[in-house]
Amino acid sequence: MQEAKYINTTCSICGHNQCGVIVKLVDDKVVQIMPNREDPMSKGSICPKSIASVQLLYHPNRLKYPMKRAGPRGSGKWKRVSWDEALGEISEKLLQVKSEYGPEAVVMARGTNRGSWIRLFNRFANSFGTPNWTESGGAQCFTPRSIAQQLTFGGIALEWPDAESSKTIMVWGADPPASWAPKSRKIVNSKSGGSKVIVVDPVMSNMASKADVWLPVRPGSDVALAMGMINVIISEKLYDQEYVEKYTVGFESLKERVAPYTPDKVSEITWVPSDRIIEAARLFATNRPSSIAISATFDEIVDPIQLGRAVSIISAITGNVDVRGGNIFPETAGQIYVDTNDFIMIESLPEDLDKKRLGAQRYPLLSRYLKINFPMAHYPTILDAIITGEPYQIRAMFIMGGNPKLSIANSDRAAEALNKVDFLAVADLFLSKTAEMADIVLPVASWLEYDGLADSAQATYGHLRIRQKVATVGEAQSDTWIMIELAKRMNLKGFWNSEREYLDYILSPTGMTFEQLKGKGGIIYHEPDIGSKLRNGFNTPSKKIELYSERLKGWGYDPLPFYNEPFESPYSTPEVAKQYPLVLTTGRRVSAYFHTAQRNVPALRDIYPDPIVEINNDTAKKLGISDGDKVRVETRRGFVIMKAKLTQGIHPRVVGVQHGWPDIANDNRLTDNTACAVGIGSTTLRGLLCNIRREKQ
Amino acid sequence: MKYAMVIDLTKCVGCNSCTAACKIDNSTGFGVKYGQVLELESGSFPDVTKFYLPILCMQCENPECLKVCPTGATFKTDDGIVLIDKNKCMGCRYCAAACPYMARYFYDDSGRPLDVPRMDLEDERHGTAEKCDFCIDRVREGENPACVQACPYEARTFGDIDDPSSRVHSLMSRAKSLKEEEGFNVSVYYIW
Repeated sequence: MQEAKYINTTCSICGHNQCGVIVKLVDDKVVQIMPNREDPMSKGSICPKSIASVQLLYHPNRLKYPMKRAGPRGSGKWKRVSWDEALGEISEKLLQVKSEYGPEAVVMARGTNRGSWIRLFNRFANSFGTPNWTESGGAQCFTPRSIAQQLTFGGIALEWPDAESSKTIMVWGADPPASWAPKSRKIVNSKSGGSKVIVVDPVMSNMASKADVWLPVRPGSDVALAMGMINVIISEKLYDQEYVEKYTVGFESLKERVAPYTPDKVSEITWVPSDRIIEAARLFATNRPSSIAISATFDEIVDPIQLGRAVSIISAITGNVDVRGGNIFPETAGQIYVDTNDFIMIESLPEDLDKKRLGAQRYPLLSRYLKINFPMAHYPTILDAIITGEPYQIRAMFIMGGNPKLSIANSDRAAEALNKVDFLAVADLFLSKTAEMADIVLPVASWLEYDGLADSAQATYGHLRIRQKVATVGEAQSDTWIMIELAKRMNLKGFWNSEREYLDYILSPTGMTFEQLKGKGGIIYHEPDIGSKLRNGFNTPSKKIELYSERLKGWGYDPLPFYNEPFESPYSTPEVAKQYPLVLTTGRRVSAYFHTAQRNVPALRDIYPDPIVEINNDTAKKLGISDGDKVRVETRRGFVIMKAKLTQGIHPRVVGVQHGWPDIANDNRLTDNTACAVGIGSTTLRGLLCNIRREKQ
Repeated sequence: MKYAMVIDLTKCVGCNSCTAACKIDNSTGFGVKYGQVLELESGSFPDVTKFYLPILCMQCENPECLKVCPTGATFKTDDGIVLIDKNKCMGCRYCAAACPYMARYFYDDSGRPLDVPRMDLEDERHGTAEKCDFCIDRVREGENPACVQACPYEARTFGDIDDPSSRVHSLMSRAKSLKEEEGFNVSVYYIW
């Protein structure tokens, strides 16, 4: 046995948090993955997914070489082919579709970010010339909350709670212990130091177990809760008057808008006791500095822009934006070095093609016209186009890092579309439910198998660090390598000869190559310049925080936040509620899985072996359901069967289901893909109507 | 010299990084969890409190498992750790029934989901009892047990309780144990 080797690198099992980890190798085999407590960003945070990546790396079912379909689609019959043949055939097919039907007939769809810089796939699509670039996340993750924050204070401060210096932390629609390990660590440390924690979540989550005030909001009614908190803060004069006067616009209009949202009224809407709404508002406004941590709920309700706006406003009127211990604007390291719009080569897409972007006319916040977002096509609209041929027929689809067969709302329709598209190529680590449908599958490297950069915008807090290749599995290659090789074969502009050239390009403004950065310890850090927006103005037209948004008004939207009842609810559709009396939230997360992945990793599945539906004990008792029973959860779209977990940590009229399980436990069989959010196209995943019953055991 | 662990429940959020690290480092088979995290709640909606309780072999000074072992396979080391001699264990499972903390396991493949293949990295130890040994091999090399090393919140502290300069010793004034009144004299303590 050789001596053990220890390598410092950065994890990317979730693509977001990018925790610093130490990989232990013996005889060149990875044997252990540990938190790196010396890492300046993550400081020792880690999760089960990262730790168990040893089993992911050496999993017997990993795709080890490219494969081509050797029977009818979905038959499970495959033939091994070389990379040259696989990439050659994909390039040929995509170019053929481009020349026969136009580039818009090719869809490029991304799921998670597994490699260096999330935006490389945008560049790939734009350089190829298709406007139909999309993400499984897309309108469901980050985009709406990012737009809402940019409209309000010109940056994504709610992604960056300066929690270690906060006296109060409000976690809303997020469960950091399950999904955001470094943020979770900051919050837990802050709590140990005496900070107060407010958690807004319909379910008593991991984070809520540490809450001083828990606000169990009715799923989908979050905006009303936020309006109620603003009402309390204004009517009790708890806002920061000087800050509001100096740094915000539109306070008087806001005051008028929130006046009807009294605690009693809001309690009726949200099912949160009114004294608790008042308590949370007072605590947040007075026990300062206060910060807010948010996540995907802000993208998955009926009108997500309103939630992002309203919660940004809570932070702003209490004087907590761009201050120590509040929500801050760190430089996002890797991504500041190259202008994003330049990088994605947005100008290379001609305007006539841009107009063909599916869904962008109906959901203009996804388009490039408003210059508020990276333009993308609307996934449900793409799937409709594949099925109906309207407004034009999609001929080919290339999917990287995504599993839309499970992760898109109303997933039976997604499966129908995937089955119908003429040509489907999928790059993944495993033969996922989506990859099973492909004509060609490409084996992708895990985070342990390529050199790269940890530069996610959401969790790096100003750090850029390197990732190092420590292992090789079969012929698996990184997503970055695959794009570069396809670009070569299709003669796309703006690509490189190798991954290393690409990394050096990204790093070039630092004056260092990847190798040089690695030699210097692999870390670049930019201390956030807290208060710079207060000194120099916010990145908005008025240079102030826009409580009232002239931009929204100009685009034909309401300039102030307002509450919209979910498209189906006990109040908006009482007739439907007769048959489906319970309110459903989908998308519950656990720490061991990232979306649809990792269910096949033994050590992780052992921790969370079953798909779980959380039900209040009293409700379950009335329906004859016991803890651990198989339960059928049904909506107007379809049903799932999951295992009951009975708890008092959920309202008797609310049910919560986990997300990401396959087949009969796939929560997207319950969700709708037609009632999409105004302007942005998000499907509602939180706040639906369902019924439940005990299934034959 | 007596090894002990103190777990600060105020810092545990139930992320199960410890459980994963334990499973990887000890190569346990499916269903075998030397350490796990229980979720406990009290009260009724909306006045509910919930907390997470990591449990593992408590390394009792007076172990019930040792008393019932018919073959002498279970034994104690000088540094206070309860171990199993796999050559002597015949798999009768008396120990699993006797353990007051449900910390003993016996590998059984029947619970493995169909879509989770058996991996070479899982050592199934067919036919013998298994449990946490405080990662004694690592500890003797000067490292911490895997769960202690993995915890993102540094909720776990491990060390020699007899050493007055150790962190674990200094935490003992605040520490409590489970089923203290039963007199098992455990080596795993909690702060809450």
